Amino acid sequence: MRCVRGVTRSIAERPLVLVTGKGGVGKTTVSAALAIAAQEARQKTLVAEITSDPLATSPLLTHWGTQFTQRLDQPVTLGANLDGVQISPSAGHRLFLRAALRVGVLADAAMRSSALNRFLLAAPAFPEIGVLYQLVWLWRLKKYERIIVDLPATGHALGLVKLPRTVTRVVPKGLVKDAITEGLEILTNRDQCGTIIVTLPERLPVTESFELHQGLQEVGVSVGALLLNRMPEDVFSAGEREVLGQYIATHQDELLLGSREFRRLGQATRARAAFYQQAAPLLELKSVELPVFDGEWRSVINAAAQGLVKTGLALGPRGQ
Amino acid sequence: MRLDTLIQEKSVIVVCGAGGVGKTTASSAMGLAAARMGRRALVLTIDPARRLAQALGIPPTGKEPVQITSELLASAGVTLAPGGELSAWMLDPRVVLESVVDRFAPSPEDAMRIRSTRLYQALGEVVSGLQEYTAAEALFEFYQMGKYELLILDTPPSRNALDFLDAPRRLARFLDERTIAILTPRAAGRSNPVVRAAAKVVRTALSRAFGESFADELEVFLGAFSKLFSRMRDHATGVRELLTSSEASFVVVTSPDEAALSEALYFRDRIGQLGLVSDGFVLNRSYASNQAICRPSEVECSAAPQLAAALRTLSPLAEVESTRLLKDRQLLAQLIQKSVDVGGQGALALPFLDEAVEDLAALKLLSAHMMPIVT
Repeated sequence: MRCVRGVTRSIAERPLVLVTGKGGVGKTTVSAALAIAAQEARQKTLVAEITSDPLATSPLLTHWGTQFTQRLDQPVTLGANLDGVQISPSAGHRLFLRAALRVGVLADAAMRSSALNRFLLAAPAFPEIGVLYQLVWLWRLKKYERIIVDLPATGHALGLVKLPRTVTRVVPKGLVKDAITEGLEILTNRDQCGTIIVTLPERLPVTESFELHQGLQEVGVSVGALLLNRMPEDVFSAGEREVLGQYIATHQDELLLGSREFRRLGQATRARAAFYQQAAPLLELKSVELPVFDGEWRSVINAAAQGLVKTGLALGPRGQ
Repeated sequence: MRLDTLIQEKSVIVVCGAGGVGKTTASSAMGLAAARMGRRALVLTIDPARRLAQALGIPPTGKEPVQITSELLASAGVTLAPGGELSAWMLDPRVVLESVVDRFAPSPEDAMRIRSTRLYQALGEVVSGLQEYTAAEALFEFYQMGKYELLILDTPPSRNALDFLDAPRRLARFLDERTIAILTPRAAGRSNPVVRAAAKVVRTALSRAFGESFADELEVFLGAFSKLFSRMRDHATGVRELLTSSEASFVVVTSPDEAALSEALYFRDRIGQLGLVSDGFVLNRSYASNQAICRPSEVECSAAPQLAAALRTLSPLAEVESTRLLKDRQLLAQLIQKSVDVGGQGALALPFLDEAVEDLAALKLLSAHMMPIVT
């Protein structure tokens, strides 16, 4: 199903949002902030984190202050209108084995079969098949108006979205093929799904975010927005920058206190310019930035959520 | 931490850490330090920053390692001790896989048969799993070859790096005869009724989930591939032995960022769980390294009002830096303790460098922090 050009929904209105980017750019914070914003917009929301180790600690979900004792492969309540879940290869495998064998006992037996288990976890692509299957399964619940997925670092995120084409070529039929085909339809539907690429104001992360944009475009996954995260405020005038630059250069053997922060700021300013310059020709793309937020996690998330609403990446709060 | 002793004595250094902390940079600097100390070093990197490849003068893709030319090194003012050599390779999983099939297949016909299956062709398009396996395989291959004295492996980002540590073992388990018997019942065990029963359940599950013909094809593929298994299994065991031996070392790179730190500790623990020792932490991009700090002098300020104004604007940043500096030094002390707690050697802080870090000159600067102090 193709939508009419020019009337693509904004990223704030698409039901499935994938948050991606290089490691350490703040994907988890952005995912959590999107979840909070959606919750405040009174949308029934699911925030999901992809993990290779189920039952390991969850960097995303533990921020809601809940001590999780149960498995997180089924959605758990994080607050009003907000659920959280961990998506993992083995949880996905269990789901499709249950569907394949129909009898739960048999599925559990198959899952316990170490041969099958090892095969599914060790054979290439099968972990991603599990992840995608679980994502489609959650989508099919039709329980959520907005699903936000915190994707793993760049390379693997691309692998995940490239997967459906490979799988549909190799796997001719069966319920996994059906689910993966549906997954491909959802991922490439510009009205249903969009990615947000998060990056930092540093040269390399900026370059890589545009490479990722290119990669996603090639596999037909819509990029809804590029987000320059943690952009520091520039406090210097051009004159001041020059004078300071010269002063620091003449004090090579000793570090002037503040000079490293000064260089960091200069670096961020240059990266920011490169970011907007490269984004300018990409007309359909929203390119926005968030400032640096300090403080404890909850206040950072709330501030980031407000920032995302302001930049149009999330819907505003709905009244009482 | 005496990173220089590791660089001087070990055969393998595995570098892990969260994404974006500067693993590739730290790995390359270690390689350069080794070469400057007179060792033949090879840095194996996975998906590195392209600019770093440019700085090292290596092609982004290639079938084999490339040695960094002495002209290039000289251009950055780097001189290597006699015998020293630095090579780098951006690992291409496809190339490694091809070589595995070529080397391990009993005959060229077997290699052909494996290559002609659709499953094999799809394998090359898959990122995960394969990347971890091929990293381990390439490492072992180069180790056996003996051409390099030190191999430095820059692992895939974040949690996947743990898959790398576990890949050989997982593969060895996966290649277990019983597993193959259950997945290819016609080719292998027919006699054991327990195996037959298990094979039936698995077969039903696979054909319902993936279709009948896939299950058939999988059987054919594994049948052909199983001829490679014993060699692959030997290598898997070899990798494991190498990584647990005193020849290998694990170093965890982190930045002062909280998320990176928690990943670093997670790595330290996972390395321990895998029966390996993490030798220490490299604290990258912090303010903790020992550098002399000065504050603007009153005399210079009174002489230049423009400078005085600029320095006033700088003063809140100086405050921030001063706070972070204290925090980073405490952090370094904690990391040293956390390493020593698990039998490691401590932690090393690398200086903060700005974006010029991809240049060879910057690698030279970083490598100097990893070498013995000359007095």
